[in-house]
Amino acid sequence: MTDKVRDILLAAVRAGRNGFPPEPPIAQAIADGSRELTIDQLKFDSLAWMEFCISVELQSGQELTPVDIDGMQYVFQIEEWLRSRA
Amino acid sequence: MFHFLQQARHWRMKRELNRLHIELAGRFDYLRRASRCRTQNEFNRLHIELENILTPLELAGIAKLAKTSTSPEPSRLWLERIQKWKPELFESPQGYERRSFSRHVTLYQNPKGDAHDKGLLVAFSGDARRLMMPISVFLQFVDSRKWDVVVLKRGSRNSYLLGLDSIVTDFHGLVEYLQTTFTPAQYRRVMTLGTSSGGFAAAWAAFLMGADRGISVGGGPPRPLPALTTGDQPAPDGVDLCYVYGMDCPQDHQAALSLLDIFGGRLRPVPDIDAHGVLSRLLKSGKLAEFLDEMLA
Repeated sequence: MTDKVRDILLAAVRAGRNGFPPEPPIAQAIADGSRELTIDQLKFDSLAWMEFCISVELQSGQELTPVDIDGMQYVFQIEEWLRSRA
Repeated sequence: MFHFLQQARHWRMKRELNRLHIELAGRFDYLRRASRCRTQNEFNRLHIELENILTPLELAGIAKLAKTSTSPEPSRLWLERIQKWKPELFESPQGYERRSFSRHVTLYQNPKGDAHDKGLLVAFSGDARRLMMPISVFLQFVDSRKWDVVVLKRGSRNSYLLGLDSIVTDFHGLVEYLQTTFTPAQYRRVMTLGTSSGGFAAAWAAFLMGADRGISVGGGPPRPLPALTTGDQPAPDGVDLCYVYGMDCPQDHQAALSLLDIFGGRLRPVPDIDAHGVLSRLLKSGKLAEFLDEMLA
């Protein structure tokens, strides 16, 4: 069963990687809602975070910005941020 | 027979070129477009799009406009950030004009000056379709009186090795397209430069074009490695192939060594850089001008 919020995250990670999918362990960790996958493990620079946030907003209408992510340490925190506004 | 086929291909390509709409890019109505942005992400989207194509002159024009009108805060912050990186960009922008040959091929050229007195720099952008920084910022470091710059962006198939959408379908075709369209022979010298995933293309193109220098910045070989037509030989005499990487970035060091194995050439480690984005790090540390002066010398 797919999870809409995690699908949004996966698509946004792909956008942050200029259309390339993440490595399978990263993709799996996002799909599983891992609480251990850190923001740093995505290895995004500032441009990639902009692309990520643009993708999230286009998909969900939620205005997540790189500034919001600055205060986060784990990817699941982005997921929780989105769920809290769904 | 082979010569005849080559000639036929050359003329077919010329015909295709003539059919292409060679657009002299129009001016952007930045304020109108910015006025439609409601969120920070919408501003970022607009700014990324502009950063990937605008000339220094166009960006300086936007900055001037923004000064004389009430511009939204995201616009002001965006321009301040760029100005911090390269202050003279807004005061004395390089005189490049932009001609778009397709969505993926743009020529930046100062109309003053003759090609015979200039160099041609063919730049293969990386995955983010820029040269590790906004195109206008990169161009501000390259003297428009001395260089014409062609910037290539990968097509939807995400690999230069598969050509460019609607133009060519393989790498040899791409090199032939460059030679037909921009006539490198008319220039005093020719260099290629590729960042990240454009690095391999820059090295191979330099090899095939017989360029004076090919520069890969943070580049490495693609997987799988295509069948090369380099005849397993080092670069032809006179082609200086140079692989730039951050000295403290082991992955990029390894990738540069792989390119060295394939094409020959030389390594050019950059001290005190532990990240992939060598050019953007040099920009932020104020050392990019010196580095590019060395590379384009």
